[in-house]
Amino acid sequence: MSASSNASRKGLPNFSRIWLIAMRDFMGYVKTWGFWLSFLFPVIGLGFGIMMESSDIDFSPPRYETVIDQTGVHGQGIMDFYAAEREEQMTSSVLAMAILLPESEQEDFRERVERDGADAGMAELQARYPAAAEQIELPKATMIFVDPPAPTLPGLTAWLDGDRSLDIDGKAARLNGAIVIRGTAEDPQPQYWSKNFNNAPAERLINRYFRDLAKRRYLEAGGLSAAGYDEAVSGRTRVDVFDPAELSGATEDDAAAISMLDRLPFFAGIGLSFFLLMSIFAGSFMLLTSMIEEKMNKLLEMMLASTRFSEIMLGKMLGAAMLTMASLAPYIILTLGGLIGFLIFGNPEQVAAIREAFPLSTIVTSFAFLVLGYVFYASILIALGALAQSMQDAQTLSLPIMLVMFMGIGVIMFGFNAPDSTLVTFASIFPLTSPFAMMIRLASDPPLWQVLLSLGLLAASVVGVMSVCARIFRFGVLSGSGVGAIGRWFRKTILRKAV
Amino acid sequence: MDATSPILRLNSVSKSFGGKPAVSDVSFEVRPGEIVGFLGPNGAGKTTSLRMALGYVSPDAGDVSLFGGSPGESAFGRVGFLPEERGLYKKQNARESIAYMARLNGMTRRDAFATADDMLDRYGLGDAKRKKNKDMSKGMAQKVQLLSAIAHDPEFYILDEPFSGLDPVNQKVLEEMVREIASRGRTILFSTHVMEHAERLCDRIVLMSRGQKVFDGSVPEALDHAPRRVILASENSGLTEAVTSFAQDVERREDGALDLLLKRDAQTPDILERCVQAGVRLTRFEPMRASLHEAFVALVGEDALESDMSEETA
Repeated sequence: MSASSNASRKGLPNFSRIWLIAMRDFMGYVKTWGFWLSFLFPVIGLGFGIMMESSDIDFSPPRYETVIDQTGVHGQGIMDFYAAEREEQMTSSVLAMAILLPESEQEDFRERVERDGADAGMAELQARYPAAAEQIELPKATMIFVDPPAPTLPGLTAWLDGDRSLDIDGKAARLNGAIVIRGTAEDPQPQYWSKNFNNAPAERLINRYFRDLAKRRYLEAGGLSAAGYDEAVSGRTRVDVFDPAELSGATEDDAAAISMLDRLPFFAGIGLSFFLLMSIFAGSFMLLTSMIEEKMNKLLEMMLASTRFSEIMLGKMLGAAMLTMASLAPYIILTLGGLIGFLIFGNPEQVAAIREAFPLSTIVTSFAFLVLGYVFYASILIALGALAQSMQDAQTLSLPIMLVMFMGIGVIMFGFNAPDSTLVTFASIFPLTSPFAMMIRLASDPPLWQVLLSLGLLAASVVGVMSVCARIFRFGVLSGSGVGAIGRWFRKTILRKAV
Repeated sequence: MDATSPILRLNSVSKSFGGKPAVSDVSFEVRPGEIVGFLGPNGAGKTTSLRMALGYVSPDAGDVSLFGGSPGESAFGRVGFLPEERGLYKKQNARESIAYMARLNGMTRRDAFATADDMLDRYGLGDAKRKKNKDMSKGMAQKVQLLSAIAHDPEFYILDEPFSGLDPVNQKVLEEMVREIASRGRTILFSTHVMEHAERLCDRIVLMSRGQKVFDGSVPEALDHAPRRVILASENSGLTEAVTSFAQDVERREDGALDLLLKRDAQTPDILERCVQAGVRLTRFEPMRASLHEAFVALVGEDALESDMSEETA
C-alpha cells in the first residue's frame, strides 16, 4: 500500500473514507426490520386505505336517531335545524372546492353555488372534471333521523339496548339514540337517551337548536327577526390583509390583497423547520446509539490508524442524514412528485404564483440553513454520544439538547403568528434557534443583512462546535470516559478544584 | 527516508494524564524488518506510548517520528494497528469486517473482498466467511480483527497485546502469523505482558516499567541480566552446606532437589568442584536457562512489577 494512495491532501477530509463510514452506519440500520417497517409504513397505510375503500366496511356509519316529541314543535324543529346545518356544511365544502377552477372563474362559480345550492355546484365540478368525479364528493351525514319504532320510551328500550334492530332498506341497523322532548312548546324538557353517551352528536345538536331558539325568541321579543340579524352579521365589514412588499404596481383601489398563495411560503418555512426538527430527532437516536456501539466495539481506535477523527464524525453525520432521508423518502417522493405534477399539469396561474412565491434564492438559503442546522446539532450529539457509555448516559447527556430543540418548536409556533417580532428576529440570528426561525422568516422577506448575519453566525458556530466536539469525541473515544468525565473537567477547569 | 532509517522513533517522550505521569522520557526506535517486543506489566505505559507513536495523543514533551515524519495522516495505509481492546461490528460478517478496514486503508472494494476471502481461507476461517461476528467465538473474532488490521498488507504492524484472551492453540496460530508476516520483510512492534511470546518471536525487546524504559536490546542481552539458576540433587548429606555460598537463594523442590539462584559472580564449574571437594556425589546437575520474566524482575525489581500491576487495577 503506497503512502500516497490513502493520504488525502493535508487538511482536507478524504471523502471516500467518509462515504465508507457513512454507508456502513447506514447499511447497519437499513438491514434491520424496524427500518423497513417505518419505510414501508406509508405504502402499507395506502394499501390498507385502498383495501378499506374497496371493501364494504364503513368505519363511521351514520347514527340512526329517533325523536319522541310531546311538544309537537321541537322534534321537527331539531330535524329541520340539522337539515339546514347540513346544507350549509355542504355549501361550504363545495365553495372550498372552487380552488380547483382557474382563478378567473372562481367568483362566478361561488355565486352559482350560493344561488343554486351545493348539489348543483357538485354536479358542475364533476362535469368539469369527469376523471376525478369519483374523488369529488361531499361529506357524509353523521346522523339520520328515523320514525320511532315504538311510541314510548319504555317501548324503545329493546332497540336502544340493541336487542332489536331497525330495518333500513332491507338491512338491519342499530338505533343509536332517542331524543325525548317532554313538556310544552313554551317550556320544553328535552332528554337524550343512548348507550353511546360518550360521543353524542345528537346531544350537541339539541343544545345548538335550543341556543338558536333562545336567540330567536329574544330578538323577536325586541321586535327583531333572527333572519335579519343573521343577514346583518353576514354582511358585516371585513378586513383585507395586504403585504407592503406587493404595494409596487398595486393601486389603492386595486390592491393585491393577500391570498392563500401569499401565505404558502410561511407554510413551507414551517414545514421545513419541522422537517429539520424531525431529521434531528430521528438522526439523534441513530447518532447516539451508533457512538455507543462504536465505543463498545472498540473499533474506533483501529480505524484511527487510517482515518481522521473529523472523517469519522462527518461519516457518522452523513450516515445518520442518509438514514433519515431514507426513512422519510416515501413522504419526500410523494411531496416532490405532487409538486412536480402540479407544476407540470396544474392551473398555470397558480403555478406562476407558486414560482413567484419561492424564488431560487429562498430555496438555496433555506437549504443552507437546513444543512447547517443539521450539522450543528449532529456534531453536538456525536460528541455527547462519545462521552456516553450506555443508553442511560446518552439520554442524560442529550436531554439539554432536546430541550433546546423544543425551544425551536416554540419559535416555530410563535414565528408563524409574528414572524417579525423581536423574539423571532433574535431567534433567527441566535445560532441555536436560527435554523428553525430563519426558515420561517425567509417568507416575510427579512432584511438581507439579517439573513447574511444569521448565516455567517451559524456557519461560524458550526465550525466552532465541530472543533470543540471533535476534541470531546477524541477524548471520549480514547479515554473510554463517561458522563463523570464532564463533572471532573468542570471541577478542574472551571472551578479550579483538585479532582 | 532511506531503507535503514528507523520506521518509528520516540525521542524522550513524556505524557501525563490529570497530572499523573503515564510515560516519562521514553526513547526507542524500530528499524525496518525488525520484530520488536514492547514489554511490561499492565500499567507500565505501553499503550500510551503506542498511541503517541500513532499520533492519537500528543506527547507533553519529546517528539515522535513515524516513517520519517509526524505520525498521523501521512502514515495512513502504511500502518496496521491492532488495539488492546477488541471488537467488531456485530452485524457484519467476517469478510465484510476485513474488507471494511482494508477499504478504509485505501484498497478498492473488489481487492478488499478478494483479500478478505483469501486471508480467511489461509488462516483456517474459510467456513466462517459469512458468519455474523456476533455468532463467532472469542478466538475467531479476535483472529478476524487481526486480519482486519493487516489485510491491506502494511509496512509496519503495531499490535497491542495481540495474544491476550487467546487460548494456547490460537496463541500458537498467532505466533505463526507473526512469523509469516516477518518473513515477508515487514516490521512488527507488539506489546505484551507475557514474556514467553517475546522470547520466542522478537529480535529486540523494549522493557517498560512505571512509564519508563528500563531495557532496550536483544533477548540474549536481556537474559544476561537475569540471575542464573541450577538444580542440584545428591543422595549424600551436606549438599546444602557445600553450595550455599554460591547462591542468593536456595529452595528445596518437592522432589527433594535444590533450586539455587546463583550469585552474579558464581560459576557453575566452581560449584561442581566444591561438591567434589566436599565428597558430595551429585545425582543431578542441571543449569537452568533464565527466562525473560526473571530478567525483567532483575531489571525492575519485584516491587516495581507489583506496583505497575496494582496501578493498572486501581
